[in-house]
Amino acid sequence: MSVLSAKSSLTERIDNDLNKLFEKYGTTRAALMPILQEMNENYNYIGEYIIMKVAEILDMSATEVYGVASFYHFLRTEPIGDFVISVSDCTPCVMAGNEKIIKVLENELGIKLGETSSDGKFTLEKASCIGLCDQAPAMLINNDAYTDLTPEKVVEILKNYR
Amino acid sequence: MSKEKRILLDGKEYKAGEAIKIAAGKSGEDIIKIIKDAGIKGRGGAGFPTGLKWSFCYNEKDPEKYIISNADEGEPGTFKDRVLLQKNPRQHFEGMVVGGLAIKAAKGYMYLRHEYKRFVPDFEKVLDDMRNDNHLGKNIMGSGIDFDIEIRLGSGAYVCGDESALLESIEGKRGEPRNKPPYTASQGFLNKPTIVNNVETWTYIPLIISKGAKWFKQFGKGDNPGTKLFSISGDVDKPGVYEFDKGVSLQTVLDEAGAKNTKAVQVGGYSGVLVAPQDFNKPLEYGPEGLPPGGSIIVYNNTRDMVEVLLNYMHFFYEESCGQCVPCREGTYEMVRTLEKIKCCEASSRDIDKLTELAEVMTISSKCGLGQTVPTPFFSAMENFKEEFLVRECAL
Ligand SMILES: Cc1cc2nc3c(=O)[nH]c(=O)nc-3n(C[C@H](O)[C@H](O)[C@H](O)COP(=O)(O)O)c2cc1C
Ligand code: SF4
Repeated sequence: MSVLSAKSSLTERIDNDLNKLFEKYGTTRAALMPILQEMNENYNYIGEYIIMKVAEILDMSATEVYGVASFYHFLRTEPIGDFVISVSDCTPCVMAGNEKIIKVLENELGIKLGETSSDGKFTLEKASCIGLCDQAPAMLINNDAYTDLTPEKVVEILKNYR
Repeated sequence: MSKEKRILLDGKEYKAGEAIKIAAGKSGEDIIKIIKDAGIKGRGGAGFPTGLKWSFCYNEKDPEKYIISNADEGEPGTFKDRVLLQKNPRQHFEGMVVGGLAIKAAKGYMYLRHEYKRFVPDFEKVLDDMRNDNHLGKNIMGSGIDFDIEIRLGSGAYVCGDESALLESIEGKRGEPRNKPPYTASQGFLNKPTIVNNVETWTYIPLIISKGAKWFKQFGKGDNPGTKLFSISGDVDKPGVYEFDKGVSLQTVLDEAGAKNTKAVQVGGYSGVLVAPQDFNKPLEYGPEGLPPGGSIIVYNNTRDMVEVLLNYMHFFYEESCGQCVPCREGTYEMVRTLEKIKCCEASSRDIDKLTELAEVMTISSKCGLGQTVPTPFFSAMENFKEEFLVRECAL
Protein backbone atom coordinates (compact mmCIF):
# COMPACT_ATOMS: atom_id res chain seq x y z
CA MET A 1 0.00 0.00 0.00
CA SER A 2 1.35 3.43 -0.86
CA VAL A 3 1.95 6.00 1.86
CA LEU A 4 -0.80 8.16 0.48
CA SER A 5 -3.55 5.58 0.61
CA ALA A 6 -2.47 4.43 4.04
CA LYS A 7 -2.90 7.99 5.19
CA SER A 8 -6.30 8.47 3.65
CA SER A 9 -7.56 5.21 5.11
CA LEU A 10 -6.53 6.44 8.54
CA THR A 11 -8.46 9.67 8.14
CA GLU A 12 -11.43 7.66 6.89
CA ARG A 13 -11.27 5.53 9.99
CA ILE A 14 -11.10 8.60 12.17
CA ASP A 15 -14.06 10.18 10.35
CA ASN A 16 -16.06 7.00 10.84
CA ASP A 17 -15.27 6.80 14.53
CA LEU A 18 -16.06 10.45 15.05
CA ASN A 19 -19.40 10.17 13.29
CA LYS A 20 -20.38 7.36 15.63
CA LEU A 21 -19.33 9.41 18.65
CA PHE A 22 -21.24 12.50 17.50
CA GLU A 23 -24.29 10.30 17.16
CA LYS A 24 -23.78 8.87 20.65
CA TYR A 25 -22.91 12.07 22.53
CA GLY A 26 -24.38 14.82 20.35
CA THR A 27 -22.56 17.89 19.10
CA THR A 28 -22.93 20.28 22.03
CA ARG A 29 -19.89 21.46 23.94
CA ALA A 30 -20.71 19.06 26.80
CA ALA A 31 -19.97 16.20 24.40
CA LEU A 32 -16.34 17.24 24.08
CA MET A 33 -14.78 15.33 26.98
CA PRO A 34 -16.29 11.90 26.27
CA ILE A 35 -15.49 12.27 22.57
CA LEU A 36 -11.86 13.18 23.25
CA GLN A 37 -11.61 10.41 25.86
CA GLU A 38 -12.86 7.75 23.44
CA MET A 39 -10.67 8.98 20.58
CA ASN A 40 -7.70 8.98 22.93
CA GLU A 41 -8.51 5.38 23.81
CA ASN A 42 -8.89 4.34 20.16
CA TYR A 43 -5.81 6.07 18.74
CA ASN A 44 -3.76 6.38 21.94
CA TYR A 45 -3.38 10.12 21.39
CA ILE A 46 -5.32 13.04 19.99
CA GLY A 47 -3.55 14.18 16.87
CA GLU A 48 -3.99 17.29 14.77
CA TYR A 49 -6.51 15.77 12.39
CA ILE A 50 -8.79 14.68 15.23
CA ILE A 51 -8.56 18.12 16.83
CA MET A 52 -9.49 19.87 13.57
CA LYS A 53 -12.43 17.55 12.89
CA VAL A 54 -13.83 17.80 16.40
CA ALA A 55 -13.46 21.59 16.33
CA GLU A 56 -15.33 21.78 13.03
CA ILE A 57 -18.31 19.71 14.17
CA LEU A 58 -18.59 21.17 17.68
CA ASP A 59 -18.21 24.66 16.24
CA MET A 60 -15.16 25.52 18.29
CA SER A 61 -11.72 26.74 17.29
CA ALA A 62 -8.98 24.12 17.01
CA THR A 63 -7.00 26.09 19.62
CA GLU A 64 -9.84 25.71 22.08
CA VAL A 65 -10.07 21.95 21.54
CA TYR A 66 -6.30 21.68 21.90
CA GLY A 67 -6.50 23.80 25.07
CA VAL A 68 -8.90 21.30 26.62
CA ALA A 69 -7.00 18.22 25.46
CA SER A 70 -3.68 19.52 26.74
CA PHE A 71 -5.13 20.39 30.17
CA TYR A 72 -5.81 16.79 31.16
CA HIS A 73 -3.02 14.37 32.03
CA PHE A 74 -4.70 11.31 30.53
CA LEU A 75 -5.60 13.01 27.25
CA ARG A 76 -2.44 12.89 25.17
CA THR A 77 -1.56 15.25 22.38
CA GLU A 78 1.60 13.33 21.43
CA PRO A 79 1.93 9.64 20.52
CA ILE A 80 2.43 7.41 23.53
CA GLY A 81 2.93 3.70 24.23
CA ASP A 82 0.10 1.20 23.70
CA PHE A 83 0.45 0.32 27.36
CA VAL A 84 0.96 3.19 29.74
CA ILE A 85 2.36 2.07 33.07
CA SER A 86 1.57 4.58 35.82
CA VAL A 87 3.34 3.90 39.10
CA SER A 88 1.65 5.65 42.00
CA ASP A 89 3.86 8.18 43.74
CA CYS A 90 1.93 9.16 46.87
CA THR A 91 3.85 8.87 50.15
CA PRO A 92 2.24 5.51 51.12
CA CYS A 93 3.50 4.06 47.82
CA VAL A 94 6.91 5.70 48.26
CA MET A 95 7.21 4.24 51.77
CA ALA A 96 6.22 0.82 50.46
CA GLY A 97 9.10 0.96 48.01
CA ASN A 98 7.81 2.27 44.68
CA GLU A 99 11.38 3.28 43.72
CA LYS A 100 12.30 -0.40 43.58
CA ILE A 101 9.27 -1.13 41.42
CA ILE A 102 10.21 1.67 39.03
CA LYS A 103 13.79 0.37 38.82
CA VAL A 104 12.60 -3.14 37.94
CA LEU A 105 10.26 -1.74 35.30
CA GLU A 106 13.08 0.36 33.83
CA ASN A 107 15.35 -2.65 33.62
CA GLU A 108 12.73 -5.00 32.23
CA LEU A 109 11.52 -2.55 29.59
CA GLY A 110 14.91 -1.05 28.78
CA ILE A 111 13.59 2.50 29.20
CA LYS A 112 13.80 5.23 31.81
CA LEU A 113 10.93 6.85 33.68
CA GLY A 114 9.09 9.17 31.29
CA GLU A 115 10.18 7.28 28.17
CA THR A 116 8.41 5.10 25.59
CA SER A 117 9.97 1.85 24.35
CA SER A 118 11.31 1.95 20.79
CA ASP A 119 8.64 -0.50 19.57
CA GLY A 120 6.00 1.94 20.83
CA LYS A 121 4.55 -0.61 23.18
CA PHE A 122 5.26 0.72 26.68
CA THR A 123 5.40 4.11 28.32
CA LEU A 124 6.59 4.35 31.94
CA GLU A 125 5.37 7.18 34.14
CA LYS A 126 4.90 8.17 37.76
CA ALA A 127 1.31 9.05 38.65
CA SER A 128 -0.29 11.09 41.40
CA CYS A 129 -2.06 8.89 43.95
CA ILE A 130 -4.24 6.26 42.21
CA GLY A 131 -6.38 5.55 45.27
CA LEU A 132 -4.83 2.21 46.26
CA CYS A 133 -2.72 3.35 49.22
CA ASP A 134 -4.02 0.46 51.34
CA GLN A 135 -2.38 -1.95 48.89
CA ALA A 136 0.84 -0.04 48.21
CA PRO A 137 2.92 -0.05 46.12
CA ALA A 138 0.45 0.05 43.28
CA MET A 139 0.34 0.83 39.59
CA LEU A 140 -2.03 1.04 36.65
CA ILE A 141 -1.38 -0.44 33.22
CA ASN A 142 -3.85 1.49 31.11
CA ASN A 143 -7.07 0.98 33.10
CA ASP A 144 -6.08 -2.11 35.04
CA ALA A 145 -4.83 -1.92 38.61
CA TYR A 146 -2.01 -3.96 40.16
CA THR A 147 -1.42 -3.84 43.89
CA ASP A 148 0.93 -4.99 46.66
CA LEU A 149 3.70 -5.05 44.07
CA THR A 150 7.01 -6.82 44.50
CA PRO A 151 9.82 -7.04 41.93
CA GLU A 152 8.92 -10.68 41.12
CA LYS A 153 5.27 -9.80 40.75
CA VAL A 154 6.13 -7.01 38.31
CA VAL A 155 8.13 -9.39 36.11
CA GLU A 156 5.18 -11.81 36.05
CA ILE A 157 2.67 -9.07 35.25
CA LEU A 158 4.73 -7.79 32.33
CA LYS A 159 4.67 -11.25 30.72
CA ASN A 160 0.95 -10.76 30.05
CA TYR A 161 1.66 -7.65 28.00
CA ARG A 162 4.51 -8.83 25.80
CA MET B 1 -13.30 -3.40 72.63
CA SER B 2 -13.23 -2.22 69.08
CA LYS B 3 -14.68 1.21 68.52
CA GLU B 4 -15.32 0.49 64.86
CA LYS B 5 -18.83 0.84 63.42
CA ARG B 6 -19.89 -0.64 60.12
CA ILE B 7 -23.10 1.16 59.15
CA LEU B 8 -21.95 2.17 55.66
CA LEU B 9 -19.30 -0.49 55.20
CA ASP B 10 -21.56 -3.50 55.89
CA GLY B 11 -24.47 -2.20 53.82
CA LYS B 12 -26.83 -4.36 55.92
CA GLU B 13 -29.07 -1.43 56.81
CA TYR B 14 -29.81 -0.76 53.14
CA LYS B 15 -32.80 -2.18 51.27
CA ALA B 16 -32.74 -1.36 47.56
CA GLY B 17 -35.58 0.93 46.53
CA GLU B 18 -36.96 1.58 50.01
CA ALA B 19 -35.80 5.21 50.16
CA ILE B 20 -36.90 5.94 46.59
CA LYS B 21 -40.35 4.60 47.37
CA ILE B 22 -40.62 6.83 50.44
CA ALA B 23 -39.23 9.89 48.65
CA ALA B 24 -41.53 9.39 45.65
CA GLY B 25 -44.51 9.85 47.96
CA LYS B 26 -43.21 13.00 49.63
CA SER B 27 -42.89 16.65 48.62
CA GLY B 28 -39.43 18.05 47.95
CA GLU B 29 -39.76 20.17 51.07
CA ASP B 30 -40.50 17.14 53.23
CA ILE B 31 -37.53 15.21 51.86
CA ILE B 32 -35.21 18.12 52.50
CA LYS B 33 -36.63 18.54 56.00
CA ILE B 34 -35.56 14.99 56.88
CA ILE B 35 -32.02 15.65 55.62
CA LYS B 36 -31.90 18.94 57.53
CA ASP B 37 -33.19 17.36 60.73
CA ALA B 38 -30.58 14.63 60.46
CA GLY B 39 -27.93 17.35 60.43
CA ILE B 40 -25.58 15.51 58.10
CA LYS B 41 -22.60 17.50 56.89
CA GLY B 42 -20.89 16.87 53.56
CA ARG B 43 -18.32 14.07 53.67
CA GLY B 44 -16.11 15.52 50.89
CA GLY B 45 -13.97 17.64 53.21
CA ALA B 46 -15.56 21.06 53.61
CA GLY B 47 -18.37 19.79 55.85
CA PHE B 48 -21.14 22.02 54.53
CA PRO B 49 -24.60 21.05 55.92
CA THR B 50 -26.18 18.93 53.21
CA GLY B 51 -29.83 19.83 53.94
CA LEU B 52 -29.04 23.53 53.72
CA LYS B 53 -27.26 23.07 50.40
CA TRP B 54 -30.27 21.18 49.04
CA SER B 55 -32.69 23.84 50.23
CA PHE B 56 -30.67 26.60 48.50
CA CYS B 57 -30.93 24.68 45.26
CA TYR B 58 -34.60 23.83 45.84
CA ASN B 59 -35.46 27.51 46.35
CA GLU B 60 -33.91 28.61 43.04
CA LYS B 61 -36.58 29.61 40.52
CA ASP B 62 -34.97 28.14 37.42
CA PRO B 63 -36.79 24.82 36.87
CA GLU B 64 -33.81 23.13 35.16
CA LYS B 65 -31.67 21.65 37.93
CA TYR B 66 -28.92 19.07 38.20
CA ILE B 67 -27.54 16.48 40.61
CA ILE B 68 -23.82 15.66 40.67
CA SER B 69 -21.89 13.02 42.54
CA ASN B 70 -18.30 13.98 43.11
CA ALA B 71 -16.39 10.70 42.67
CA ASP B 72 -13.14 12.37 41.69
CA GLU B 73 -11.39 11.19 44.88
CA GLY B 74 -8.01 12.65 43.98
CA GLU B 75 -6.71 13.64 47.41
CA PRO B 76 -3.61 11.48 47.96
CA GLY B 77 -4.17 8.95 50.72
CA THR B 78 -7.93 8.80 50.09
CA PHE B 79 -9.68 5.66 48.85
CA LYS B 80 -12.86 5.41 50.93
CA ASP B 81 -15.13 6.35 48.00
CA ARG B 82 -13.60 3.58 45.90
CA VAL B 83 -14.25 1.00 48.63
CA LEU B 84 -17.79 2.25 49.18
CA LEU B 85 -18.57 2.18 45.47
CA GLN B 86 -17.10 -1.28 45.06
CA LYS B 87 -19.17 -2.60 47.95
CA ASN B 88 -22.51 -1.01 47.33
CA PRO B 89 -22.81 1.26 44.30
CA ARG B 90 -26.59 0.99 44.26
CA GLN B 91 -26.98 2.68 47.64
CA HIS B 92 -24.91 5.58 46.30
CA PHE B 93 -26.99 5.93 43.13
CA GLU B 94 -30.19 5.66 45.15
CA GLY B 95 -29.02 8.65 47.18
CA MET B 96 -28.64 10.62 43.96
CA VAL B 97 -32.19 9.65 42.92
CA VAL B 98 -33.56 10.88 46.25
CA GLY B 99 -31.77 14.19 45.60
CA GLY B 100 -33.21 14.23 42.10
CA LEU B 101 -36.74 13.70 43.42
CA ALA B 102 -36.28 16.39 46.07
CA ILE B 103 -35.36 19.16 43.63
CA LYS B 104 -37.06 17.69 40.52
CA ALA B 105 -33.71 17.54 38.76
CA ALA B 106 -33.46 17.16 35.00
CA LYS B 107 -30.54 14.78 35.22
CA GLY B 108 -27.73 13.43 37.38
CA TYR B 109 -24.06 12.95 36.61
CA MET B 110 -21.48 10.93 38.44
CA TYR B 111 -18.00 12.39 37.83
CA LEU B 112 -15.67 9.44 38.28
CA ARG B 113 -11.93 9.81 38.30
CA HIS B 114 -10.14 8.25 35.33
CA GLU B 115 -8.15 5.99 37.64
CA TYR B 116 -11.41 4.19 38.55
CA LYS B 117 -12.53 3.60 34.98
CA ARG B 118 -12.30 -0.17 35.46
CA PHE B 119 -15.48 -0.07 37.59
CA VAL B 120 -17.68 1.57 34.93
CA PRO B 121 -19.16 -1.68 33.52
CA ASP B 122 -20.29 -2.70 37.03
CA PHE B 123 -21.86 0.69 37.63
CA GLU B 124 -23.63 0.66 34.27
CA LYS B 125 -25.13 -2.69 35.18
CA VAL B 126 -26.42 -1.30 38.47
CA LEU B 127 -27.97 1.65 36.66
CA ASP B 128 -29.67 -0.75 34.24
CA ASP B 129 -31.07 -2.78 37.12
CA MET B 130 -32.40 0.41 38.63
CA ARG B 131 -34.05 1.35 35.32
CA ASN B 132 -35.68 -2.08 35.19
CA ASP B 133 -37.06 -1.53 38.70
CA ASN B 134 -38.35 1.95 37.79
CA HIS B 135 -35.89 3.46 40.27
CA LEU B 136 -34.47 5.47 37.39
CA GLY B 137 -36.02 6.77 34.20
CA LYS B 138 -39.57 7.92 33.53
CA ASN B 139 -42.07 8.64 36.29
CA ILE B 140 -39.94 7.09 39.04
CA MET B 141 -42.20 5.00 41.33
CA GLY B 142 -45.24 7.03 40.37
CA SER B 143 -43.70 10.33 41.45
CA GLY B 144 -44.36 11.97 38.10
CA ILE B 145 -40.65 12.82 37.96
CA ASP B 146 -38.25 11.67 35.23
CA PHE B 147 -34.64 11.36 36.26
CA ASP B 148 -31.64 9.48 34.92
CA ILE B 149 -27.94 9.26 35.75
CA GLU B 150 -24.98 9.40 33.38
CA ILE B 151 -21.40 8.49 34.30
CA ARG B 152 -18.76 10.97 33.19
CA LEU B 153 -15.06 10.31 33.54
CA GLY B 154 -12.33 12.65 34.60
CA SER B 155 -9.01 12.63 32.80
CA GLY B 156 -6.48 12.93 35.55
CA ALA B 157 -6.67 16.43 36.97
CA TYR B 158 -6.82 16.67 40.78
CA VAL B 159 -8.19 20.21 40.65
CA CYS B 160 -11.39 18.84 39.02
CA GLY B 161 -12.36 17.60 42.49
CA ASP B 162 -13.21 21.23 43.21
CA GLU B 163 -16.90 21.31 42.41
CA SER B 164 -16.73 24.31 40.07
CA ALA B 165 -13.77 22.88 38.14
CA LEU B 166 -15.64 19.58 37.97
CA LEU B 167 -18.59 21.31 36.33
CA GLU B 168 -16.32 23.08 33.86
CA SER B 169 -14.93 19.68 32.95
CA ILE B 170 -18.36 18.11 32.36
CA GLU B 171 -19.20 21.16 30.25
CA GLY B 172 -16.25 20.28 28.01
CA LYS B 173 -13.81 22.90 29.23
CA ARG B 174 -10.43 23.05 30.92
CA GLY B 175 -10.93 22.12 34.57
CA GLU B 176 -10.24 25.56 35.94
CA PRO B 177 -12.08 26.55 39.13
CA ARG B 178 -14.61 29.37 38.89
CA ASN B 179 -14.86 32.42 41.08
CA LYS B 180 -17.17 31.83 44.05
CA PRO B 181 -19.78 33.23 44.51
CA PRO B 182 -21.92 32.44 42.63
CA TYR B 183 -22.11 29.04 44.28
CA THR B 184 -23.06 25.91 42.38
CA ALA B 185 -26.37 25.57 44.25
CA SER B 186 -27.57 28.63 42.33
CA GLN B 187 -25.34 28.55 39.23
CA GLY B 188 -23.76 25.18 38.65
CA PHE B 189 -23.81 22.90 35.61
CA LEU B 190 -24.57 25.04 32.53
CA ASN B 191 -25.16 27.83 35.08
CA LYS B 192 -28.26 26.02 36.33
CA PRO B 193 -28.94 25.29 40.02
CA THR B 194 -26.94 22.18 40.92
CA ILE B 195 -26.31 20.02 43.97
CA VAL B 196 -22.82 18.58 44.19
CA ASN B 197 -22.17 16.06 46.95
CA ASN B 198 -19.44 13.58 47.75
CA VAL B 199 -19.92 9.82 47.18
CA GLU B 200 -20.04 9.12 50.93
CA THR B 201 -22.67 11.82 51.47
CA TRP B 202 -24.87 10.38 48.72
CA THR B 203 -24.45 6.87 50.11
CA TYR B 204 -25.81 7.95 53.51
CA ILE B 205 -28.95 9.57 52.07
CA PRO B 206 -31.04 6.38 51.51
CA LEU B 207 -30.46 5.28 55.12
CA ILE B 208 -31.46 8.68 56.49
CA ILE B 209 -34.66 8.64 54.42
CA SER B 210 -35.61 5.05 55.35
CA LYS B 211 -34.65 5.13 59.01
CA GLY B 212 -35.15 8.77 59.84
CA ALA B 213 -33.20 11.66 61.30
CA LYS B 214 -33.38 10.33 64.84
CA TRP B 215 -31.80 7.03 63.89
CA PHE B 216 -28.95 8.88 62.19
CA LYS B 217 -28.33 11.14 65.16
CA GLN B 218 -27.72 8.26 67.56
CA PHE B 219 -24.28 8.00 65.94
CA GLY B 220 -21.60 10.63 66.28
CA LYS B 221 -21.58 13.60 68.61
CA GLY B 222 -23.83 16.66 68.97
CA ASP B 223 -23.38 18.93 65.98
CA ASN B 224 -21.60 16.20 64.04
CA PRO B 225 -23.90 13.21 63.79
CA GLY B 226 -23.41 9.96 61.94
CA THR B 227 -20.45 7.76 61.27
CA LYS B 228 -17.52 8.64 59.05
CA LEU B 229 -15.18 6.65 56.83
CA PHE B 230 -11.42 6.96 57.14
CA SER B 231 -8.81 5.82 54.62
CA ILE B 232 -5.78 4.72 56.61
CA SER B 233 -2.42 4.01 55.00
CA GLY B 234 1.32 4.26 55.56
CA ASP B 235 3.08 2.78 58.58
CA VAL B 236 0.26 0.73 60.10
CA ASP B 237 -0.26 -3.03 60.45
CA LYS B 238 -3.74 -2.96 58.95
CA PRO B 239 -4.21 -0.30 56.28
CA GLY B 240 -7.71 0.06 54.86
CA VAL B 241 -11.02 1.86 55.22
CA TYR B 242 -12.43 2.16 58.75
CA GLU B 243 -15.71 3.56 60.02
CA PHE B 244 -16.11 5.38 63.34
CA ASP B 245 -18.57 7.63 65.11
CA LYS B 246 -17.98 11.25 64.15
CA GLY B 247 -15.78 12.91 66.72
CA VAL B 248 -13.48 9.90 67.26
CA SER B 249 -9.96 10.79 68.39
CA LEU B 250 -6.97 10.30 66.12
CA GLN B 251 -5.36 8.05 68.76
CA THR B 252 -8.31 5.64 68.67
CA VAL B 253 -8.03 5.39 64.90
CA LEU B 254 -4.27 4.79 65.10
CA ASP B 255 -4.76 2.04 67.71
CA GLU B 256 -7.37 0.25 65.63
CA ALA B 257 -5.16 0.30 62.53
CA GLY B 258 -2.09 -0.86 64.44
CA ALA B 259 0.23 2.14 64.25
CA LYS B 260 3.52 1.83 66.14
CA ASN B 261 6.42 4.21 66.81
CA THR B 262 4.42 6.92 65.11
CA LYS B 263 6.24 10.17 64.50
CA ALA B 264 3.67 12.09 62.49
CA VAL B 265 0.26 11.65 60.88
CA GLN B 266 -1.03 13.48 57.83
CA VAL B 267 -4.71 14.09 58.48
CA GLY B 268 -7.15 15.30 55.81
CA GLY B 269 -5.01 14.45 52.80
CA TYR B 270 -1.99 16.33 51.52
CA SER B 271 -3.88 19.60 51.92
CA GLY B 272 -4.51 18.80 55.59
CA VAL B 273 -2.37 18.93 58.71
CA LEU B 274 0.85 17.11 59.61
CA VAL B 275 0.06 16.16 63.19
CA ALA B 276 2.69 15.47 65.88
CA PRO B 277 2.18 13.02 68.82
CA GLN B 278 1.18 15.71 71.33
CA ASP B 279 -2.04 16.20 69.30
CA PHE B 280 -2.97 12.57 68.70
CA ASN B 281 -5.68 12.74 71.39
CA LYS B 282 -7.58 15.44 69.49
CA PRO B 283 -10.88 14.60 67.78
CA LEU B 284 -11.15 14.25 64.02
CA GLU B 285 -13.82 16.89 63.88
CA TYR B 286 -14.56 20.46 62.82
CA GLY B 287 -13.85 23.08 65.44
CA PRO B 288 -10.91 24.98 66.88
CA GLU B 289 -9.57 22.01 68.84
CA GLY B 290 -10.27 19.51 66.10
CA LEU B 291 -8.29 17.95 63.26
CA PRO B 292 -9.52 17.94 59.63
CA PRO B 293 -12.18 15.21 59.39
CA GLY B 294 -11.92 14.70 55.60
CA GLY B 295 -11.08 11.06 56.08
CA SER B 296 -7.54 10.53 54.81
CA ILE B 297 -4.93 9.44 57.35
CA ILE B 298 -1.33 8.72 56.34
CA VAL B 299 0.89 7.43 59.14
CA TYR B 300 4.66 8.06 59.31
CA ASN B 301 6.84 6.16 61.79
CA ASN B 302 10.02 7.46 63.37
CA THR B 303 12.25 6.37 60.47
CA ARG B 304 10.57 8.81 58.06
CA ASP B 305 12.09 12.05 56.84
CA MET B 306 9.70 15.00 57.05
CA VAL B 307 11.62 16.99 54.44
CA GLU B 308 11.10 14.24 51.88
CA VAL B 309 7.47 13.96 52.89
CA LEU B 310 6.79 17.67 52.44
CA LEU B 311 8.74 17.73 49.18
CA ASN B 312 6.56 14.91 47.84
CA TYR B 313 3.43 16.93 48.74
CA MET B 314 4.72 20.09 47.08
CA HIS B 315 5.68 18.19 43.97
CA PHE B 316 2.12 16.95 43.77
CA PHE B 317 0.64 20.43 44.18
CA TYR B 318 3.07 21.90 41.65
CA GLU B 319 2.01 19.25 39.11
CA GLU B 320 -1.69 19.71 39.86
CA SER B 321 -1.95 23.52 40.08
CA CYS B 322 -4.11 24.58 37.15
CA GLY B 323 -1.91 27.62 36.70
CA GLN B 324 -4.73 30.17 36.63
CA CYS B 325 -3.41 32.31 39.47
CA VAL B 326 0.13 33.48 40.01
CA PRO B 327 0.45 32.86 43.78
CA CYS B 328 -0.45 29.20 43.37
CA ARG B 329 1.46 28.58 40.13
CA GLU B 330 4.66 30.31 41.23
CA GLY B 331 4.25 29.49 44.90
CA THR B 332 4.14 25.72 44.37
CA TYR B 333 7.21 25.98 42.13
CA GLU B 334 9.07 27.97 44.77
CA MET B 335 8.09 25.47 47.47
CA VAL B 336 9.56 22.61 45.45
CA ARG B 337 12.72 24.53 44.60
CA THR B 338 13.44 25.58 48.18
CA LEU B 339 12.61 22.17 49.64
CA GLU B 340 15.05 20.60 47.16
CA LYS B 341 17.61 23.02 48.53
CA ILE B 342 16.73 22.06 52.09
CA LYS B 343 16.99 18.39 51.18
CA CYS B 344 20.53 18.96 49.87
CA CYS B 345 21.46 20.89 53.05
CA GLU B 346 21.96 24.10 51.12
CA ALA B 347 19.24 26.19 52.73
CA SER B 348 19.31 28.55 55.69
CA SER B 349 16.63 29.87 58.03
CA ARG B 350 16.24 32.81 55.62
CA ASP B 351 14.93 30.42 52.97
CA ILE B 352 12.40 29.07 55.43
CA ASP B 353 11.33 32.60 56.38
CA LYS B 354 10.80 33.40 52.71
CA LEU B 355 8.69 30.29 52.24
CA THR B 356 6.64 31.24 55.26
CA GLU B 357 5.88 34.65 53.79
CA LEU B 358 5.04 33.08 50.46
CA ALA B 359 2.74 30.56 52.16
CA GLU B 360 0.84 33.39 53.83
CA VAL B 361 0.30 35.10 50.47
CA MET B 362 -0.88 31.86 48.88
CA THR B 363 -3.43 31.26 51.63
CA ILE B 364 -5.13 34.59 51.19
CA SER B 365 -4.77 35.26 47.46
CA SER B 366 -5.34 31.94 45.69
CA LYS B 367 -8.59 31.50 43.84
CA CYS B 368 -9.52 27.97 44.89
CA GLY B 369 -9.07 25.50 47.70
CA LEU B 370 -6.00 23.98 46.08
CA GLY B 371 -3.82 27.07 46.30
CA GLN B 372 -5.38 28.12 49.58
CA THR B 373 -4.50 24.87 51.35
CA VAL B 374 -1.05 24.12 49.88
CA PRO B 375 0.42 26.03 52.85
CA THR B 376 -1.50 24.00 55.47
CA PRO B 377 0.91 21.03 55.63
CA PHE B 378 3.84 23.45 55.34
CA PHE B 379 2.73 25.46 58.38
CA SER B 380 2.17 22.36 60.50
CA ALA B 381 5.51 20.89 59.45
CA MET B 382 7.18 24.13 60.56
CA GLU B 383 5.30 24.13 63.82
CA ASN B 384 6.11 20.53 64.67
CA PHE B 385 9.28 19.55 62.85
CA LYS B 386 11.16 22.75 62.08
CA GLU B 387 14.43 21.43 63.40
CA GLU B 388 14.52 18.76 60.70
CA PHE B 389 14.31 21.48 58.10
CA LEU B 390 17.11 23.54 59.65
CA VAL B 391 19.66 20.84 60.27
CA ARG B 392 19.89 17.60 58.34
CA GLU B 393 22.11 14.59 58.72
CA CYS B 394 23.97 15.54 55.56
CA ALA B 395 25.08 18.82 57.12
CA LEU B 396 26.86 17.15 60.02
C1 LIG C 1 -8.68 21.05 44.88
C2 LIG C 1 -9.92 20.44 45.43
C3 LIG C 1 -10.15 19.07 45.28
C4 LIG C 1 -11.33 18.49 45.77
N1 LIG C 1 -11.49 17.15 45.58
C5 LIG C 1 -12.66 16.59 46.00
C6 LIG C 1 -12.91 15.20 45.77
O1 LIG C 1 -12.08 14.49 45.19
N2 LIG C 1 -14.09 14.67 46.19
C7 LIG C 1 -15.03 15.43 46.83
O2 LIG C 1 -16.10 14.94 47.18
N3 LIG C 1 -14.82 16.74 47.07
C8 LIG C 1 -13.67 17.33 46.66
N4 LIG C 1 -13.48 18.68 46.88
C9 LIG C 1 -14.57 19.44 47.56
C10 LIG C 1 -15.67 19.80 46.56
O3 LIG C 1 -15.37 21.06 45.99
C11 LIG C 1 -17.04 19.90 47.25
O4 LIG C 1 -16.93 20.69 48.38
C12 LIG C 1 -17.64 18.57 47.65
O5 LIG C 1 -17.71 17.70 46.57
C13 LIG C 1 -19.03 18.79 48.20
O6 LIG C 1 -19.59 17.57 48.66
P1 LIG C 1 -20.05 17.37 50.18
O7 LIG C 1 -20.83 18.59 50.59
O8 LIG C 1 -20.89 16.14 50.11
O9 LIG C 1 -18.82 17.19 50.99
C14 LIG C 1 -12.30 19.29 46.42
C15 LIG C 1 -12.06 20.65 46.59
C16 LIG C 1 -10.89 21.23 46.10
C17 LIG C 1 -10.70 22.69 46.28
S1 SF4 D 1 -5.41 28.30 43.37
FE1 SF4 D 1 -4.12 27.06 41.97
S2 SF4 D 1 -5.44 25.39 41.31
FE2 SF4 D 1 -6.80 26.96 42.23
S3 SF4 D 1 -7.44 28.25 40.52
FE3 SF4 D 1 -5.56 29.18 41.31
S4 SF4 D 1 -3.89 28.26 40.11
FE4 SF4 D 1 -5.70 27.00 39.80
